[in-house]
Amino acid sequence: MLRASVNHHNSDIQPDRIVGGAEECGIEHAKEIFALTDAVVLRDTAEYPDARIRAELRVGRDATDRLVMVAANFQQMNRMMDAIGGRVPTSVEPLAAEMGLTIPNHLASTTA
Amino acid sequence: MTTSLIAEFEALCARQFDDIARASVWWTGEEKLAMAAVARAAMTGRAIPETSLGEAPLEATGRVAAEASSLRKADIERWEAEGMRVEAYVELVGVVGRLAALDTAAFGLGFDPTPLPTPVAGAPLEATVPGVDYVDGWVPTAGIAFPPTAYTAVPGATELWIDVSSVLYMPLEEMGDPTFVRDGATRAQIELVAARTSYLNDCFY
Repeated sequence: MLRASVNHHNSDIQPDRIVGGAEECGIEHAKEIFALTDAVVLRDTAEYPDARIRAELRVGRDATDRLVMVAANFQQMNRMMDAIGGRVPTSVEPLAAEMGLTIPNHLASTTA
Repeated sequence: MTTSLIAEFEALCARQFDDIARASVWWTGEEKLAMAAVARAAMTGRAIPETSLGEAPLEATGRVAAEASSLRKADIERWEAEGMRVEAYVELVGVVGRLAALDTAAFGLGFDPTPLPTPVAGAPLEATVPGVDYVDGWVPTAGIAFPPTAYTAVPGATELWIDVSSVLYMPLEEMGDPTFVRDGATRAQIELVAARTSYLNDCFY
């Protein structure tokens, strides 16, 4: 869905930079969004106030709140999928490779 | 944060913590609140509090809360051998996952974590779901194991995570829309946060 939404806006995503996290990756204001996400997920009380202000200046207060809530939701989703051993569909492998990641054997699936 | 967002989040917390305080399918309210307390400590690096949880649920709670990517099928099998049903494990994962979401959102929105409520007395239903099976996952599910089926071995558990996901992320019916915008955040920005969070959690899904 990340790629589909980026393509919809005729942009060109650079998935490897999601791993890097500090550069623009083809999505508007990605640098500030990376910093916001990192600070809230890692509960970095030192970095969070500055990351939040920078995000608010770029995307606005409501959007910043929404992005924080999305990160929070994926704290739930990640734990759920890792804990139930949901396999990663083979269709995701090309994107993982673009990000420089290899799906671990215990999560690899034969299902597309 | 706008008044409507505050109200929506506070209402979500009220519903979710009310559930956590009550007996459900495999755990009492007291046990679920103990899981919440242990998960909070594990996620923030604090000492694990004194708890009435048995060894298997205590270990499982800590692992799901703080190092979910290290879990393997053998862990679940070991906990089953120690007496924790796999359905009870599924419900435990739901409690810890929802707690993680609510506490993270509270931090990011500038709220204190919701105080854990007083447990409501009651016994678990101990109800099973017919027809669930192991389909490309470590726990029984209704169909292949992926988010919409993850908790289907436990009656009511799916609705609880959908409640959290709908408020914090997006309603299920919007999932296929690449043009979805919420509170000014574009779908691409939303999915960027999802991808980055998953990377930080070492989650490949």
